[in-house]
Amino acid sequence: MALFSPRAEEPRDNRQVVSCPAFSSLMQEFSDEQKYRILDLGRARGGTVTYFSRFRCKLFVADVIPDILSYQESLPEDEPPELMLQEMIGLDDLSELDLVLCWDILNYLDAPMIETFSTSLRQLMRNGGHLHAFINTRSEMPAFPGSYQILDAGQMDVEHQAGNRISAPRFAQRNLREMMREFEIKHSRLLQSGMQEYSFYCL
Amino acid sequence: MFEKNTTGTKPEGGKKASVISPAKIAKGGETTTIGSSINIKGELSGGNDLIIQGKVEGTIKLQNNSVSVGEQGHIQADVFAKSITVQGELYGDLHGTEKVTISRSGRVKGNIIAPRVVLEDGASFKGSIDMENKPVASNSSAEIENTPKKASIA
Repeated sequence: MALFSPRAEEPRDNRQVVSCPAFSSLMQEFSDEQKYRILDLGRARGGTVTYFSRFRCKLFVADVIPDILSYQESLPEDEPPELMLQEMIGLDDLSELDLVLCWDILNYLDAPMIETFSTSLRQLMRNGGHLHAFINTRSEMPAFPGSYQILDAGQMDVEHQAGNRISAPRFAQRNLREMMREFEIKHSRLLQSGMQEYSFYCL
Repeated sequence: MFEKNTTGTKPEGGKKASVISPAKIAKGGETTTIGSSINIKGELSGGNDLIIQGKVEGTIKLQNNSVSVGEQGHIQADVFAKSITVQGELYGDLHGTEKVTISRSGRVKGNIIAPRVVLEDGASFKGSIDMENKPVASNSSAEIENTPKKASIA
């Protein structure tokens, strides 16, 4: 496993600002007093670090999405996935998470992988912990997951690598409920960008 | 500034430094530079600001000064300093009493403990950032180094 993800192509011209009202609602529940443990599965982005600096928190930056996708691609057909997320992330003290930022990865996983991903992720979280995600509802999407960073509680900046577009799985809420049995949907909003924004909490 | 162990033996934790290749430590004012051809193993400590373009393995302790890892720098060490800037590659924990900055060319795997952390756009980082020991920052004081161009609002 590579120590660092390949450096993203620059310059990027596929940037977009998306609204995230469900994330905003979630952040209103965060207090200045409590210490939070937050996992960002994506690559490190300065805006996200800056945003969470207002809270007492420990932010884990996993930069693990390329590894998860590589694992999925490497699986022989019909072999059930068995994702060991903690080992794949390889960071110490990764437990009892209050919030997981699960930006764009779900659009790029097949149903069996989402099931094992969900189970593996749940093991890292505390009861009642939250997960925030975006699901593409349009027929096509970029070939690779976007990189998100928080601008403020209601807006995020998304970078996509220029390139081909692929068909999107367009998971519906009922699909997500079936695949992610360890989680319950708390908020769901359809955004103008075609993304369905979700916040989940751990059962 | 640096304690040196010229025997060439690999030091054990917290022991004196051994210089693997001939050291050329150029002192200029309050800043010391470790050149790109220098390899150091052991503990570095002192009272100057430090720029590292070479390789350092061990521990770097300059609690009252700044440490800058240049683009050619390769560090495998825990770093304790007032401010730390990484433009090269670093594997270890960063303890900054004021600020830690990972520049756009910087690549870091480790844990950061600092009241202010700046990740410039393009920086690579994997690890944790502990924001426990800091006053709660207000929105106006938050430092954003990578304000993106707004393309469209969805």
